[in-house]
Amino acid sequence: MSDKTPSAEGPGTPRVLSVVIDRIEGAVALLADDRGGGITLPLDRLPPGHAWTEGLVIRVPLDTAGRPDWRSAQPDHAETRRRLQEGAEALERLRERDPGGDVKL
Amino acid sequence: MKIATLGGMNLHRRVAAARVALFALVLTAQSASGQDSARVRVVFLDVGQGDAALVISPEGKTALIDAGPARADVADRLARFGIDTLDLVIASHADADHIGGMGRVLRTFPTRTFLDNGTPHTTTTYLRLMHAVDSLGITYLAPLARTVALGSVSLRVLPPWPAGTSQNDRSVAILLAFGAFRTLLAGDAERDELRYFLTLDIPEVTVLKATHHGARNGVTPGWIARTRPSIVVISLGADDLLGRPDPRALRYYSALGASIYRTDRDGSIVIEGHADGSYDVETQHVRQDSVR
Repeated sequence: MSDKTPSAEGPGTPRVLSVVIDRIEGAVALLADDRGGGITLPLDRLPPGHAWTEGLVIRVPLDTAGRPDWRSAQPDHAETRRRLQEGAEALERLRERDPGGDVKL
Repeated sequence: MKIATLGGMNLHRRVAAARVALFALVLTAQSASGQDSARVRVVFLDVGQGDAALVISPEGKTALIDAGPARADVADRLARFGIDTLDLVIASHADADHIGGMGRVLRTFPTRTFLDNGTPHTTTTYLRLMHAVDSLGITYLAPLARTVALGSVSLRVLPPWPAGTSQNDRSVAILLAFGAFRTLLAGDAERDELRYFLTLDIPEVTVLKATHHGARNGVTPGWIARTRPSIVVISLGADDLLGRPDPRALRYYSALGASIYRTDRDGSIVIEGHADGSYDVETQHVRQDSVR
């Protein structure tokens, strides 16, 4: 699990905000940062030419005042795949504990 | 405070003083007593925009279905209700308004079992939740067609739609039954998944939690005709960004005469179900439009 929100990635490196599209409701994206916070963003604030879909990790440059430059946002497909894999592996481990069938508590 | 009883008889009582405190006290006393053979309690917690429902069986067994957004701090709410352990925690799906508060719940209350929709998400909230289930040694229950007996309350698991491609349409649904009293909670399932659920032998229910917070895409004519609820509960925040509950959805829900309760107006909602199918409803806030 990465923690890059927002982060200075080294001297001279632009700061970048990493968020995930938690869900899309109509024309609005609900973004989740790595600290459990949320951002509500109209989808048309994101640049065209990308498929902005649920679960996609997005990297957003921050300006000198620390404000996200949404028009320069880019999908981070590698991090998206890595997180999906991490979640799938966690589920696989947990399934080994499943007693199966009906359960009486 | 409103109390409604099935059978056409509605009793409205106004308790102006300390009603919120009384609401909490009643829950605390009942849950601490452990044994109450007459009823199951389903508490729809007011978590703002999100879902969280607590089930307390007549034997005092407990299940939490969703845990609202992190800011709602459901763990603190459960503690104030006198809950000290949970027999089952269910994540209907992995959106933050359903699982945001779940990690803290698991770290606060010893939890026996955990069930989710088996569909990974990429948020840190989700990944941390999975790690919490793992590291705490909680028994995982996959979303298979199975029944979980919560004491004398049956929780039938309706697996997510196999063809679902979004978290909403991969919601796992729970059909609660205590004798003739039934409650159906289907997360944020949208139209396509609702059609799938209708292939799974869904009966009429007493209480239907509106899916997707009262959105238009959370109800279909077939869904409402099959379930024919007496009560519909809509869990949502005030001034919803998306204008929910959708007026067209409300028309569907009210078409068959169901009573509609909303957490944005009524606060938390306690429904006590009896094995003969009758029920009582108590709301946290006085309903000004229903006081007589």
